Amino acid sequence: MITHVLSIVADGVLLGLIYAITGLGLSLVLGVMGIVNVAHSAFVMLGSFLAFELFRRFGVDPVLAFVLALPVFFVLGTVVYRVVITRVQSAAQTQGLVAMFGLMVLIENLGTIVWTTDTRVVTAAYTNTSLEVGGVVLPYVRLIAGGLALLLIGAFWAFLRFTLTGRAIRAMAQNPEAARIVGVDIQRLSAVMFGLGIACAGAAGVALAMVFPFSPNTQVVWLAWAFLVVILGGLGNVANTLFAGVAVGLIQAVCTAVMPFDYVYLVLYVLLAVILTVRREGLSSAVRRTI
Amino acid sequence: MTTFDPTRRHALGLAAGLALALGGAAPALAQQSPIVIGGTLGLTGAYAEPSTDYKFVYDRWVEEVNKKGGLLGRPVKMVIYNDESTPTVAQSLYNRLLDQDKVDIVIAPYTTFVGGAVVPIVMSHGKLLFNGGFVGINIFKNNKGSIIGSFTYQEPDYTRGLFEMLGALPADQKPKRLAVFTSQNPFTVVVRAGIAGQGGVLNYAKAAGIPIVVDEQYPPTTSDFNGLVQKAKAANADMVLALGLPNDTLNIARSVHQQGMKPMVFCTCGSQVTTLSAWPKLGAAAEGGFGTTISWPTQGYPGLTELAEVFKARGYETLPTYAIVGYAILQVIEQAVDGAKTLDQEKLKAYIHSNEFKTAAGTFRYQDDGTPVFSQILLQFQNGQNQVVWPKQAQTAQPVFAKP
Repeated sequence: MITHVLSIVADGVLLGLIYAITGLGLSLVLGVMGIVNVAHSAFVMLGSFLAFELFRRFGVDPVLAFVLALPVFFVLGTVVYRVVITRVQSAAQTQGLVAMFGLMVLIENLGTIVWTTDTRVVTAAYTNTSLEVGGVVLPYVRLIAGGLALLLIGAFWAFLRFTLTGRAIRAMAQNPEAARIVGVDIQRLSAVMFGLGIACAGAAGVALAMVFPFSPNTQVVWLAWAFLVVILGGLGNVANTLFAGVAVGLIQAVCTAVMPFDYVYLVLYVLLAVILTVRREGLSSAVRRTI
Repeated sequence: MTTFDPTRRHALGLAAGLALALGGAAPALAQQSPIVIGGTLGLTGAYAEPSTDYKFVYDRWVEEVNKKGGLLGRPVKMVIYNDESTPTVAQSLYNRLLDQDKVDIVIAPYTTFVGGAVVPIVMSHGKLLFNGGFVGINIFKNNKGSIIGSFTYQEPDYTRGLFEMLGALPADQKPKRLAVFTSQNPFTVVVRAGIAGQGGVLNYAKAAGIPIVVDEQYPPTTSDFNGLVQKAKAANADMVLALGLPNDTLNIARSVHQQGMKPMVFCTCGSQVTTLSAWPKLGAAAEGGFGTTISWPTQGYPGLTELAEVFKARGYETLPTYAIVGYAILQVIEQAVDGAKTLDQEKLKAYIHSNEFKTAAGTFRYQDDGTPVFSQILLQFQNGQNQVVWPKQAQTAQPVFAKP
């Protein structure tokens, strides 16, 4: 019995770390810049296929692909910022939302053309092996994905807290006008922030590809999880994103164990509704908040 | 006015006669108006991959049949529009095929999701729907034999072969505890529950005396199955059936392996996942997995070996099920039109329901609802490749049961 309970908890925590990393980029972009990046899942998908192609063509381990994804997607994010975001930034938020939705559709369709809708898997040497501790089975691939998620979240937390750029980003999030007055280059920092958000999305895509099968049109399901984590954890707060992800993972694992699976998602979304009702804020609060 | 002398006229007549006698047949075929077969496929969008393979099979068959002289002495032309994997697009394209293009024969698109939407349009035009694209026992029954299928098993029978194989085992060797995971999808819920008390996992398991210890349904958007697999593990299930589509089934297979579960039977019985190229790429998690398909090249059905070879050249180790049924429905059309010597839909229907058809999917005899009589191949993935483990007459290897 204790083993079963520990298995549920371990499963929930590892799953929660995956949820947290999936929501991290969305949370940062939404919290700091007020951009509802619905194209987040499209970049997650691209990250998954980066891992797939590197593994298939060159035998690159997904862990290395995770590291490589960060600069690659950072650059991609800054390009998207310059080409798309700067053009819709001054428009109403709904127009920005439509633009991001269009970007998501474009990327997903391009993905379908390039990779078709076939389901893909990345099977590394450790994918089919597990660590057993006192009867609790921990798949290595989930341990690695969870570890990478923790590292990335920790790195972002430290970056925002201890570096000059991180402090400037926090200043921008709290009061962009004041930040501008004291000499912060808002446009450059916004590009950096968006690039970091997309880098997180790409890295999350690699982590997801390590653990789950995927195709260009399946990664969009992660957008719902990312929003759930963001809303539960609050906008732009790295530590809270981590706790929210783990909380969602644990709730899902416990609910799966004690009730028919049909009700698990219902419980999660009722929980979301309750939180939104109690806190009386949702995406409409995507204004600058403390991070 | 031009005149010809009698000798010259005679010579010209002879030359014309000779030309007709020597070369008349081929130009006559070319001059005949073609028989037009029309349908749609999701050449872009969610079903682009299988649809592209269907198109390949169709094009290959058209080339073959025209080389043989066409149908009824007329060339065959196929009009396939791209329905973008979307039911509403398919509906408007079938209206176009029937009202503007006035196709002679209608073939179905891929998957029940798209195919089910075009059935009323085809039926309202008094046409038969030659269906190598989707299963759907209710759709077949509702249309009283006017949909002619080539899938040799429908949803309630997806696990029939598996349970028949298990039924032949000695009682002490049969699985004792069954876990079933079903995607909440109109197709797989019938695979689980059957229809009107017939078929379906629940009924087969009851008949086989195998108690169901976990019976869970999940939304199609479910991303993680570890919790469900842990539930099956905690219940000591020694038989796990994944009734889902490729993405979720691969996910479940991986979780089962990673959780250290070694069920005696793990079957991907919701769709023919073990025939897909992604299955071997699961590595050790794929080993021992059972799955079903329509027929197997070693069975020697007409065109099957050649089809397997061309698909091997396209990178498929295992011939996909949809390629077999796509080709088989065209073989039915060919034999029915040749046999009935007409394109009249009622006469074709009567001919089809009273004759046998030799196809790559087996020898078809049609039931009243338009589905062929049941036949199935049960595969098991052994040492990196699929083997036929049931029925006995088609066996390429003995089934291997893991010891939990």
